[in-house]
Amino acid sequence: MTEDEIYRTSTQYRLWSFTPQTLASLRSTTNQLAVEGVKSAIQSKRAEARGEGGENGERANARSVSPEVDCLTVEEEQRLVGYYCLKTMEFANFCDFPTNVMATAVQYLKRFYLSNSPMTYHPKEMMPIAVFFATKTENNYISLSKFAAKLNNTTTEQVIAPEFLLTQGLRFTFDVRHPQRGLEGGFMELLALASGKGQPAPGIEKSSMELQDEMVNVPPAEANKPQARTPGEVKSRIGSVHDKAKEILKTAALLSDAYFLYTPPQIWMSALLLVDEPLASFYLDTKIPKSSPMRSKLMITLRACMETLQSSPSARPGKDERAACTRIDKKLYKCRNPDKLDLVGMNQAQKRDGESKDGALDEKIVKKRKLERENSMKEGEDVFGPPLPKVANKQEPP
Amino acid sequence: MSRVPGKKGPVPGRAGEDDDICPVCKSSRYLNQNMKFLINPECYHKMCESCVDRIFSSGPAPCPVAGCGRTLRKQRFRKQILQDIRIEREVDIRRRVNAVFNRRQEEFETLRDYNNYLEEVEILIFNLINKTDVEETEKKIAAYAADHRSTISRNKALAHEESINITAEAEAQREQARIRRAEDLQEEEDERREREEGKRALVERLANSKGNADAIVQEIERAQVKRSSAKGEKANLERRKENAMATQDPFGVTNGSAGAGFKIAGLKKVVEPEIEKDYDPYGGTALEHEYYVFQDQYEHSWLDKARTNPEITTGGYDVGEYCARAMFEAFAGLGCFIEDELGARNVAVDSGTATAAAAMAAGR
Repeated sequence: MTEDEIYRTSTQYRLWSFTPQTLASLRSTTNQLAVEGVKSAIQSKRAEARGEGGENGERANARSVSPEVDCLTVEEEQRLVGYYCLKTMEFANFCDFPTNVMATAVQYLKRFYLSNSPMTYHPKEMMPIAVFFATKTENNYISLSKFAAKLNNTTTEQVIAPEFLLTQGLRFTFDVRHPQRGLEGGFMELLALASGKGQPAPGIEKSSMELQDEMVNVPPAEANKPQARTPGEVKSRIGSVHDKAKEILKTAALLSDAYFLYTPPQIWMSALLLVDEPLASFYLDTKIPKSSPMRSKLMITLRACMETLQSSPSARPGKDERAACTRIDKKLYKCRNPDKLDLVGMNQAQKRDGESKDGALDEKIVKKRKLERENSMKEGEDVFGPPLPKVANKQEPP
Repeated sequence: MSRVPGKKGPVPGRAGEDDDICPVCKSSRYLNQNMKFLINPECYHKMCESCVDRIFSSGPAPCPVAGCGRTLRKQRFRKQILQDIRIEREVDIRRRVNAVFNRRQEEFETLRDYNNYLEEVEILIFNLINKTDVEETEKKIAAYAADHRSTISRNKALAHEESINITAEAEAQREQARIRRAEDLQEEEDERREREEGKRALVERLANSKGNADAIVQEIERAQVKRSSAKGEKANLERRKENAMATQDPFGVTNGSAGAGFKIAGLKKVVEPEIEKDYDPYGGTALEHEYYVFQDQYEHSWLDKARTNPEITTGGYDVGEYCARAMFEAFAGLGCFIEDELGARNVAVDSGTATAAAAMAAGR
């Protein structure tokens, strides 16, 4: 099996990779469905508010007229989710979680809001659970109570309430493949190449020394910079490129749709191209020869990915951007789905015994349960187990 | 076993006489009490030990029997085991051929195959015995031996092992029998002594007491009978226990007593299990590097820390594993072009599951 074949078995490739068109259509469908949901919910709420005494015909009439609700557009939704992705990153940094936890949490949010709209579930409520899940998937677990203590005015119930919603939205796949570790691998190889120990991809005939010489002769990224002359200088160049590329992966790659549209190696390669194009294309030469059709195809994809990265929302939004987000949030306040406001309550209702809202169970049910439990305990202790169920007498054959 | 009935000597009526005269030097057992006759499997002519020493000590020489003239070596002379020289020869031939054709029944698919094989071998043996097509037959045997050297040696080793097992078993049985015999003797001795003691006690009682003599005799006899029967029972019990233990023995090696010494015929030999290969969790799938050659050592400032820091190395952390993973993730998916590969698929998926999930989540 080759690396590509293995990647094709991942859920990220199978379930979470899209073409730009499908991604757009998916978002608009989600938005449409959410708008319909919001409208019908608001309408039924209003009908309720108008009083149960109203006649049936009147109600039906009221339902057919859709209420004037100013819903979010796809673009507004996107901005809002992007804003909360930023918030997630801030929160993860505040908690001192490692980068992969932050990146996974952001991707969870992005994935969740592919099939769900902020109008249905507010990102602010989904954010904690996304981070909490990310700590678990990325092997950085902290207890729920400690986690909730880091958030203002948030109880453990509030954190955990949307856990099933998020899991469902993630289609029960928690694995996110990040380009970060791949970038480290790439830099390990670049350093090896610079020190004359690197090897090209299988199938390319070049010695390590030749590669080292070539590498020294790679033109500088910017015209005004001096040409590197020794492997040591190349190494320091690699170091600075590494830091810049890492920063891109930490911010632009997460905030854009790059994860949906490209594979992790493509993302870090384009980050490398963005930072230092001559070095990146030299590196690609050692992997795929210029003449192969694969190379041109890859370059097209990498250029597209570069554009995606460049056009990503800024990680440090300006005043205008913040103001716009506040405006969207205010707008959202009016068009939220009223059925989905109380996530804690919904979570309770889904669980067993959730029907009674005050939490006190019906005494009869409690008694019955207790009796059943005792009985089963007794039977469990019995050496020969419970008595066999009585079978109705079979009809004898004539 | 393969004695021909009535065949005691070449001329009936003068039985034994021919046996005792060396056909070469004509000396007889009458003159030499310790005379031994030897034969050579080359021609099977019989002669006495002194003749062999005399003629063949100085190297190979032709057979002294008139009309034979084969070259014989002293080394190959041996004692005649069977009386009939023809059978002796046949046994030799069989032994030689069977050493080569030592296939076992387990090696054959069906019994018929095995029997066919046996028949083939039998034909070869028959040819050799009756001296028909000897050269051709010998050639066949030699060719077979050359072709199947490994199987022959393997089966030979197996047979050797079996014979060792059988010898050990027989040895164990013998040992058991010896012990039992010793026990029996001891028991007998005890019984005898007791009887004598009883007699002595009776006489003493009779001499010392003044009661009825008949009553005393009866009483003592009764006591004796009681004692001996108790003893017999005890012995019986012990024997039974022994037998039980013997039958429990799964290999039956220690089966000593006649009752427990039976064996189940036709037991299949346990086949030696093949040596299991190392477990391969990937089921033979190997990772092929398409884009890179993995190196043993990578430079990286913080990898060097991990390599030397005892806090990390003590726990068994392997930097190589990290490097392999990083290199793998660096290139896993470089050649996956989502737009090309998934363009068609996503349309179908989107209108299916994803939208359904969205619809469900968005509110009924």
